[in-house]
Amino acid sequence: MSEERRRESYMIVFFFIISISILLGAVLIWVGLQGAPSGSINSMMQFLFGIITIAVAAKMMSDLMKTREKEKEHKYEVVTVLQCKNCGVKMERPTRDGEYVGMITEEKCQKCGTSSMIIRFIYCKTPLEQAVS
Amino acid sequence: MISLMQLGGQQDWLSWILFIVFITILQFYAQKFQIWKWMNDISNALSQLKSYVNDASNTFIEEASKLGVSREEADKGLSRLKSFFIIEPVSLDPNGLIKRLEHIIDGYLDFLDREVSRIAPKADENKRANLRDQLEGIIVLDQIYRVVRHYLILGKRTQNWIYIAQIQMMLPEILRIAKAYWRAGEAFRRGLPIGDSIGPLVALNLIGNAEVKEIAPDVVGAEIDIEGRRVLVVKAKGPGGNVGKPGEAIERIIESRNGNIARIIMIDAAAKLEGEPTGEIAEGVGAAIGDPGPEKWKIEQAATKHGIPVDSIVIKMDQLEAITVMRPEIAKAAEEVVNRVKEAIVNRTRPGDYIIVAGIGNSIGVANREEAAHLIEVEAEGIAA
Ligand SMILES: [Zn+2]
Repeated sequence: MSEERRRESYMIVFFFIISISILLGAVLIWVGLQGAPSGSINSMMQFLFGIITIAVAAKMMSDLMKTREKEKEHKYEVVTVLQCKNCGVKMERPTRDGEYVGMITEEKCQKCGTSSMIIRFIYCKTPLEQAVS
Repeated sequence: MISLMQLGGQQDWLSWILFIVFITILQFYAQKFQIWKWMNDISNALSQLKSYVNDASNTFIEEASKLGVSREEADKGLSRLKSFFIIEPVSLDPNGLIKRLEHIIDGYLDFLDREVSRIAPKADENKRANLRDQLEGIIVLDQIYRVVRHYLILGKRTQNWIYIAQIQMMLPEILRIAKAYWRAGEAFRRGLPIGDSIGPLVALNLIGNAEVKEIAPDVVGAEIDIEGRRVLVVKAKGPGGNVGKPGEAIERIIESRNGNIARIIMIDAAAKLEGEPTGEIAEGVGAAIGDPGPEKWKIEQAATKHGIPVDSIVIKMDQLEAITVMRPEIAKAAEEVVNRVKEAIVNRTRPGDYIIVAGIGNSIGVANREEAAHLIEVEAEGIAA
């Protein structure tokens, strides 16, 4: 929990720095534009630095968003597909421990009520790229 | 007015100097900065890898400590095993190389089995096999962690950016593989079928509720009838995480029937190329089995000796999908593969022929036959006795 809180405070500091940078960039651009009619190289520089500052801030912002996105754990969903021995209807539910394919359970069929169902498949619904990223 | 312009000019001149100095400094330090950033990336990844290793180890210790020994003992046993290694046989003298390789692999599996029984003495046959697979995953994860750490420290010490750049550029792939092994640990802990279990799954669908018997170490087989042909379906013993010795099994069957086998059909998972869909089915000839060599060699030897054609049906998947919980696309390919096997038997053999169908792969989470849960355990004990 304290690890999470520390991360959270880091995030706040980063957001603060980013907003200050954006503000600074905006001021630089504004000042640069004010001096633009005089045609001095100084105002051109101010304008340029303003744009660079905002670009860097934007890049930092997107990196921060990416790490936040990555930290969200995708749920790993494993399901069992059962088939009724009597009427052949298929049913899907979350996998319980100790189950394997080919096992005949005494679960009740929701259609015909026979309590003999065979496990046909056990598979993971989370796509590979989500599971390993 | 003039003085103001002069001042402006001076300021211009000063800021230009500053700008050029800044650029020059950047030139000198750009590479240093780059290396610093790469090293930072690597040490972040390293702590991620460490957390995978720790997490996988903790779940292993927890599972093991439920089955006999204390947490401390399990921990001690595991840390001894982490640096386990295999020395490959010398290939300079190829004579009997396969036999030597098999001997070493047998020794490796024996060692793991013995250690797992020591750490978890109360585990039954299936749980022991699952723990062994879980352990193998931890050894791989730990190895990845050690290699990355090696390059990070080497790079830090030598400041050689080639070491650092190499590992940094491979980081995304390394982390992907490591996370897959971490996920695999979950599958082995819970005993769920993985992508590689597709071979045994197809075999199970063919066997149905026919009687099975053990024909080689950790390999079972059942005889079924397909349109008047006698078909022996072979798979690794489940639902524990066994691969078994399918080569040994097929060789024994061939020899026991004096080579009177019409055809061998093998079913296995195969690595897909990027862009190929998962679960795609492909047919070919030759022994489809991804073992280090000995099992494939036995099948080829025996089949060649008696002139038995070997056909293969493979199910394509990503290498990481092969070690994590089975994907629906792969599971659903099973039915289609069963149909293709039947088709192949009907088209390529005559009634009365004897055919071997082998579902190759790890049998984790796949039963030997369709049966109620308690019956399977009783039978497994009967075979062992
Ligand atoms: Zn029903």
